Amino acid sequence: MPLSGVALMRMKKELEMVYQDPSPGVSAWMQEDDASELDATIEGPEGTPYARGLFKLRLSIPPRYPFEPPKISFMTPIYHPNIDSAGRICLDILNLPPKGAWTPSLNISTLLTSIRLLMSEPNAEDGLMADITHEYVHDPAAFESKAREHTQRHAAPSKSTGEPSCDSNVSRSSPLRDSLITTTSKVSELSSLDGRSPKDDGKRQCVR
Amino acid sequence: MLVGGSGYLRVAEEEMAVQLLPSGLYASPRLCEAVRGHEPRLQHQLQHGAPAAAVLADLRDIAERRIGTSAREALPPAEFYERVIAELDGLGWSVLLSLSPALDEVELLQRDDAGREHAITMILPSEYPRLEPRTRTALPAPFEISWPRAATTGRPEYSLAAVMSQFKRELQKHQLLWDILDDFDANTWVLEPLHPTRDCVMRRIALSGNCSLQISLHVGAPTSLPELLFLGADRILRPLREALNSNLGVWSVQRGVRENLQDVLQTQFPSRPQTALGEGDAYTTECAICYNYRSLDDTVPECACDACGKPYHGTCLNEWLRSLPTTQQSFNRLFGECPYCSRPIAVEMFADRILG
Repeated sequence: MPLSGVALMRMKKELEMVYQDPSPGVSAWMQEDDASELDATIEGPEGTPYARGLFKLRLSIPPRYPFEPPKISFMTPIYHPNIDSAGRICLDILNLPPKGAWTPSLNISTLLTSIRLLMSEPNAEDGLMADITHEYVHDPAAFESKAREHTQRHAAPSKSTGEPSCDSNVSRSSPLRDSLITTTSKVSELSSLDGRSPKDDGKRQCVR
Repeated sequence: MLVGGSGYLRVAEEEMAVQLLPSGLYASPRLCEAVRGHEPRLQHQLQHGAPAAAVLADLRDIAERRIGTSAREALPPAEFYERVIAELDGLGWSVLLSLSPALDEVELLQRDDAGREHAITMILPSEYPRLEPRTRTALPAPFEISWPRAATTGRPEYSLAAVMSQFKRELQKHQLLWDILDDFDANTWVLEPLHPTRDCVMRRIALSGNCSLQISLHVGAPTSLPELLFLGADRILRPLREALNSNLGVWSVQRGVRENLQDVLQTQFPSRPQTALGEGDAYTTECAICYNYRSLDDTVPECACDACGKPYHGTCLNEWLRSLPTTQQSFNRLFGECPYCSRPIAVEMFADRILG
């Protein structure tokens, strides 16, 4: 449902802000001309198993925004104690009080930055994925290698297959060919996400 | 005459064995080491019948002076400071950006051919110039220093001047790269990084329609096609991707990357608007909830938090406070917490809006 009223007024401003004054490593934009559905990306923070990965997220802005928090989920699979296999994120600021800690002082940019921080510092006390949380606490080396492997498999910007191919337009002898190949895969990366359905999720709920 | 005996002497918090016998004075190895060179004096005292207590006190004084100083951190010898000062004299003090109080960390300025300023930090070990200094720079590629060797000994000769001349040569290697990056900084709207350092080869620039393009240049071949990452709505980016794929043939390594990209993508990169958002927002008048000055009812933010000063439309604050179970109502006022600073805030209750 397209936004109206306060939500639309605020989203117009927010989109300008997130675009003109972006926070490091995050970006967000409208899918179509409708500010209620946003796409976003988070670059995996350096020094974490998610480094060099580009994670795509989807944001759904409720009609009562900013009095209610947006719904945010990962579209790129991620191996993380607080993010389930459907991409749902366990983070207190994504829920309304008294259960959560959302306030209208937060916005799309600060939420994405907080999620990026959660990627750097998983919250083992509030694990959503019991197995991963257990592993994160008791066998950090195994957790890191699995998370890194997961990142390389699903979130590597250059490792996607899909549209658009440009081979036909450039001759094989072009000196640019080599760099072209890496660029082309970068170009196509945003459009080639796994089409995952939100139904295959585990039945765990975020407990707090 | 001397009476023999043995016991411990307390030197610099340490108990050390000592034995005074008619045949001579004996001590633990550490104590012997500490009084080396003073044996004739002690021997003289003993031979001339000085009291045992006086001899031992003297022994302790000598040992304490030695052990006490070696326990403190060794300072570099005076030559170290002379050498550093002399070298800075040679380079000229105008290139000195900063100097640590101990003179062991020197930050120097070097200008490249285009007049760009670059800093290099050298960390000098206290054995300098016998040991190698470490360097720290902001270059896009690692910078290895090859030390000139002394003709006589064949040992490397470390000097600040050698580092500076090699740093200058190293800067020349990246001139083209920095020319291209400076061109982006001057003629496009760079969104990220906000304050690029010289080692950063990435720029995220604005495209039209709230899209952006992340460009990462190749350090070795800056004029070749950089790594590109488009960010934004697919419907705006699709024509750009298609243009990129079909026009790559016109890319010329003889030209600048910005011109090449504009030709290949068939677009003009927007430049930074004069009054960018986010600057000067230390003073805001917009409602901190709906981010606008005029509300839907055409009111202006008439409430403000007493503690943090954030302005709010009464309607916005009403709607937020009423959605919280912790908010309390007294007559026609709502009492709750400021969304920003969580201090108490109160607002007059508004009737429900009927429309919109």
